[in-house]
Parts: sequence; structure tokens; C-alpha cells
Amino acid sequence: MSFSFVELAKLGLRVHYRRSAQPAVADGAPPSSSSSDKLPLLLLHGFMGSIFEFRHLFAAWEAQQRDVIAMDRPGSGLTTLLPSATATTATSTTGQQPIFAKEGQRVWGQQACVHVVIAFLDAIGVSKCVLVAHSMSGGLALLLATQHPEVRRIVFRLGNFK
Amino acid sequence: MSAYEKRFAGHLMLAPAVRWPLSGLVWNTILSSNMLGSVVVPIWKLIMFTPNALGLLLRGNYYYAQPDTDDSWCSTKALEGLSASFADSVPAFSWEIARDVTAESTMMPPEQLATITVPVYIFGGTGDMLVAEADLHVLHKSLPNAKLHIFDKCRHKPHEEYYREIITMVDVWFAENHF
Repeated sequence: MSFSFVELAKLGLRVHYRRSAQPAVADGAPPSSSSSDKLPLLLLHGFMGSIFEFRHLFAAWEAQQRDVIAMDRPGSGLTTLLPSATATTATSTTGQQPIFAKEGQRVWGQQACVHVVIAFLDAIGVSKCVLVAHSMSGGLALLLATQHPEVRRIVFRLGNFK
Repeated sequence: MSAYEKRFAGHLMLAPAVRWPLSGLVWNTILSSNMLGSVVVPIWKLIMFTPNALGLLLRGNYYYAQPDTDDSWCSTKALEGLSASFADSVPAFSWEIARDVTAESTMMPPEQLATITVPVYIFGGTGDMLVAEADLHVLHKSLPNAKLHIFDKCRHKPHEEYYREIITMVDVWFAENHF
């Protein structure tokens, strides 16, 4: 049984994710596994889904010794809700205001999730990956792809998460 | 190389809802239904294509034990142990998510899509009433480095209905792009 969480303190969020077992590397030895040169896969589910919907793909890629990471989006699965400056139904687990919580900003929108995905990747120490996105997250993937300045800014601001 | 390309080497898009599903429904209604079916069929299919609607209301479908799934994905005992840790996260109001995402989900213009140069592999299905087949073709034509595969009669979750086929095809794509 493996439930993993990562705290994103600046976002006031606890993200639930599942990561495939990492191949053990002997002390001092260079990573010789064939998986070391394969990029990690980040799996993002769709509207009202969870990482559960990736159980088949996850298992298959895990069997190939790939580094597979599936995360629950905010408000889905076991990830906590996004706090916002105006929301009354959500509270931050850390008591801090998220950096994007400005008056009138859409808490649940794709834009907010861009921040979450980048912060999550920084928190777990993944610098480059292949995105596997279903449904609503497909739109998120396009948004990520066309917002280079935004992504660069977030990376800069949250780069010390590791 | 852009900051984005440094971070994300490629996209695998499964039934991408680049427009909000409602507009997908409207598209399908207009494009693929006759006048009589246009009223009844989409509502029916919308219900049928979300078989885990009850589970969705419970924030994800962890609560579904399925015969082809090992316990680690849906163990209710583990969830009981976790209940204290996520007691502060009350069930999300799905309509709030829908409202916010809808406001930001419009099809990007082709000239903007053309700037996405990373390899993209798009999967969809002809039976998907949430994503219009036309949208998949628009994506495929507009993205400069995209592949498209549409499964016959596949509904909104190709990664559950056709996961074996997807694994096989994606492995080739991974090898081609050194992922």
C-alpha cells in the first residue's frame, strides 16, 4: 500500500501522488539501469477523475522499469483543496496564502493548476518529463506549452523547493 | 529551446478536452446526430459515458473495487487509515471546478498551437461524446509534431478501454523520440 503526499507549503496544498518504485543503485556505482536514460512520465487525470484511472498504464509502464508519477489534481482524489483569498469552503493546511491567490483569480482553473504542476515537479525533484494528460488535463498541457514566460517565472519562484 | 521544452519533452494526450465537454456535446450533436437523436442521444450517452458518476462524487473513484485492479489502488482499509489525514479536505464542489475550467477552456487558435513543437501523440475515440472528433483533427493538423490515433467506438477513456493497444503504440513512439 503506497499513498504518498508532498506538501507544497507556498501553495498551501498537500498533493497526493503515486510514483513507481525507483531502481536501487549501489553505493558509489553509477546508475547502470536501462531506465536511467528514460524520461519520467507525469500522469494527469481528467475532470472529476483521480490517479485511479491510470492504474492500467501505470502498472504496464512500471513493469518496464520506467519512472512513472501520477498526481491527483487539486480537489480530486486525495489531494487537498486549493485555498484562495476569497474562498470560504477551503482552508490552507499550512495557514499560508498561495502565491496565486489574488482577488478574482479562478482558483480551480487551468491557470492555477499550472502553478501546482510546476511546484509539484520541483518538490519531488523532477526536472524533465513526458506529460500524459487525459481530457481536461489535455487543455492544461496545451496551456503549459504556450505559456513559456509563465512557466519560467514559476520555476524561478519555486526553484528552491527541492 | 524554450523553458517549456526543457521541462516537458513530449505530450501523450488521451481524449483531450480542449474545449469544455458541453461544446463537445454541441459539436457532436450538430455533426453526427439526426434531428431526432440530437435531443435524446447525447443525454443518454453522457450518462453512459460516465459510469463512475457516483464514485466521482466521492472525489475520484478510489472506492471502486474492480476485478482487474489490485488492492493497492482501491483498498478501503487504507482509506480508513487516511481519513484523519484528509479530513480537512471536504469534497470539492464539482460545479465550481467546472465553472472555472470552463472559463479557461477554449480551443486555441491554430497559430498558437503551431508554436508547440514538442512531440505530441493524441488518442481519441469515435464514441466519445465529451470530445468532438473534429477537435482531434484540428489538434492533429495544427500541432507541427503530432500523431493521431482514433479508436473505433472508443468512449472517453481510451486508457481504460484500449490500454493494451495504447501501451504498444506508445512504446514505439517513446523509442522514436528517445523518451
